[in-house]
Amino acid sequence: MRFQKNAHRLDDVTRRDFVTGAARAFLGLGTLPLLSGLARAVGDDAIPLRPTTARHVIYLYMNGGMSHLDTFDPKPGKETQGPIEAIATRADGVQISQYFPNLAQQMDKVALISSMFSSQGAHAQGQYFMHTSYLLRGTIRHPSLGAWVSRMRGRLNPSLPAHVAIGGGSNDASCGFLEFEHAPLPIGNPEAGLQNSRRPQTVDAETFDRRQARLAQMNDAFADRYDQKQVRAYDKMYEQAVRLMSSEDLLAFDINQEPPSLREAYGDDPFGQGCLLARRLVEHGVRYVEVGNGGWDTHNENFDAMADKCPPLDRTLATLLADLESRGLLEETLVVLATEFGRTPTIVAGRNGRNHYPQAFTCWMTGGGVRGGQRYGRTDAEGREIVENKVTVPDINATIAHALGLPIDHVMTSPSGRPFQVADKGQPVTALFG
Amino acid sequence: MRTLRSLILLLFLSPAVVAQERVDFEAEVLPILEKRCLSCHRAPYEDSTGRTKNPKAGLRLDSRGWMLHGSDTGAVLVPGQPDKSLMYQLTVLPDDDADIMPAKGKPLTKAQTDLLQRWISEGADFGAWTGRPGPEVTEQEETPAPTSSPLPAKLAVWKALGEGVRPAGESALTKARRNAQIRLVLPDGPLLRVEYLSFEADTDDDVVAELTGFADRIAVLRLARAQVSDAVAATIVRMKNLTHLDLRETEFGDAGLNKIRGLSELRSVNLFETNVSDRGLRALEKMESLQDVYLFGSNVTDEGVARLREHLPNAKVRYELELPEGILETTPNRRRR
Repeated sequence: MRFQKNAHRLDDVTRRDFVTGAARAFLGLGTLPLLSGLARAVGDDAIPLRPTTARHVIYLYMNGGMSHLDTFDPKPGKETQGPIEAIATRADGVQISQYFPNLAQQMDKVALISSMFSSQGAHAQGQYFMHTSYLLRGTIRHPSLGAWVSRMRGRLNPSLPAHVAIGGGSNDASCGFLEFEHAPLPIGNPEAGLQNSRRPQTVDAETFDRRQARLAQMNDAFADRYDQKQVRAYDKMYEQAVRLMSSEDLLAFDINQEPPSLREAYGDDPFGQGCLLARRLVEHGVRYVEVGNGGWDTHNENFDAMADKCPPLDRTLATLLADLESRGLLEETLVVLATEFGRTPTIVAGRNGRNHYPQAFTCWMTGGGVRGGQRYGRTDAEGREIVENKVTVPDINATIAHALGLPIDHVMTSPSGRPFQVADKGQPVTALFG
Repeated sequence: MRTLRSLILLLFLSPAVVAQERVDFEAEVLPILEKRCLSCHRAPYEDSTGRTKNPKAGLRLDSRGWMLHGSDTGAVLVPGQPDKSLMYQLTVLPDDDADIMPAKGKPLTKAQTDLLQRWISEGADFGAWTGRPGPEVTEQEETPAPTSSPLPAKLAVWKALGEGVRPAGESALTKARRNAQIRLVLPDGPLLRVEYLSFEADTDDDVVAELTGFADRIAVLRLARAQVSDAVAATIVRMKNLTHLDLRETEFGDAGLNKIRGLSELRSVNLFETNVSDRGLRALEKMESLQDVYLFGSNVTDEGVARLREHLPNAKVRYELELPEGILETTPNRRRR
């Protein structure tokens, strides 16, 4: 029955595949959501306004499950800690791993959440849950938080997308069942910026305009006949892309505008340069930027991996926070460091590794109204169990949504008629603010 | 004419609506549940092979208490709100949806789902029925209300400043909106945030002057990268409720700063990469409301900043890009084991 129902759509999807490919190649746009009911509208009812302390989010995603003990929830002196030591920070009573000496100097800005809990212990499921607050299932694709922000509040800068994802890896930043315009603009390589965003040299401005006009002419009849959300959305996508092509805001994507010394301070790796790009984008009014950092799945030789991964991360994070601060951007930019789960406190004998551990891990936030210098929630002496203020995955997303002034109790209906909320039923941790 | 027709229609229709009685749970809804839902969603029981069958998804519909308690994943019944009640929502999914309820057999009929919807809309009145014993629940267990915590300090300031201020008139806003984005800083207050994203290159002193008509409603003004000069101060000085001023990367300088020294509510002033020098800082010395001052990339000196810090001991003055010490030399402490 399902097959029959969808059979007549097959040609439609094929054409969409083609157009998507073209859009991605020529305009730097991402893929259309092929799941979900596609053509049907999402409810357009008025979305209530809420008080807002953050207008932008830089979401730093540690792909693979970052060990909590070896980074931001050390347990000095315990067997579970292994060889990595803890150091004091500028925040009273807050210790972090020895690998973050620079960030330690800025911990007075950061609120650690050391009582994170997830129900998902596998990567795909955990990453999806972290991004969307809903469990991964076959019948629907849920929007990630950045897409909710875009859908509920729209763009700040009319020329720039509300939602950008830098550095590949995670496909979980997605518009889900929302309209395609809320999907993140993907930037694979931060140094290359936005690809295919300039007019080819062989096409002069006049020719380009003429072609656009011709295209519009051909499309108009179709758009009139099928005056549907999905058709309008595609038109809008082209319109926005062309607007961006001729906008000065295109420079926001070009990190070559930055002094070499600052680029070096951010770190000569994709994550470091991606964070610099994130700062430029936020500065120009992009609301939600995700930057991915992979390689945290340390089943084997966990301590070697930490020695390799943490120091460059420390440098990038410390520079990012200092840079945002000096420009006055931290007041309204919420920086979130997140991962899908922690790693087992018990060190796996024989291979010095740590396995997946969703039942206790650490994320953190700074800026955007967050009160720094605190550790919210606690694990026990060995980092095994949460003993205070458990924060679930939907809760942390509700907290981000709360800072952004999104109404977390507002129900929006998917094309198949089901009710969803921005962070499912998560509740914000309001103790982090003020 | 159309109004008249609707009126007549209404006259005919309304008695029918009024006559519709409240749904009787036991007589009308319960039979549907018994027939279509309870085989899966009921108290644990032993099947014919002696195995214990637990309710699917932890959901029991054989008891008032359990129904209000919900399933493993949360509430399924929110009295008064069918759109938030999964026990209704899942029955009206498209019939090829994997999540439609009942999972087996035909979907409920339209009459049945409409009845369910009406019953929930009317407040999910169970009458005298309680069914099997359930967990302790309060009379109407609703999804928890969004936590209403006290407003963060910054927002509280906007609330207080907005008291008694009339909202800006739409006509005054319309002209300014051609170049600017204008939004409320608080959903229920009159104060505004004005910014010129994407229009920076066209935003000069004259464009900003278009805000004059509602200057006292502006709490946040962002002029980052705009083509403004010291002359823009003539407009800014009228914004007596201004709390946040962002002049990042503009040609604003000492003369402008001197002109706006009277802004008594200013909390944050961003002079990153402006022409401001130590002379201009003198104007800030008496602005005791200031909490955040950004001076990196301007022409100020160590001396000038030190002096300002002395006068404004409670303000955070950022003057350098405080890259952590030795960031370029940092070498990892290699493992010891």
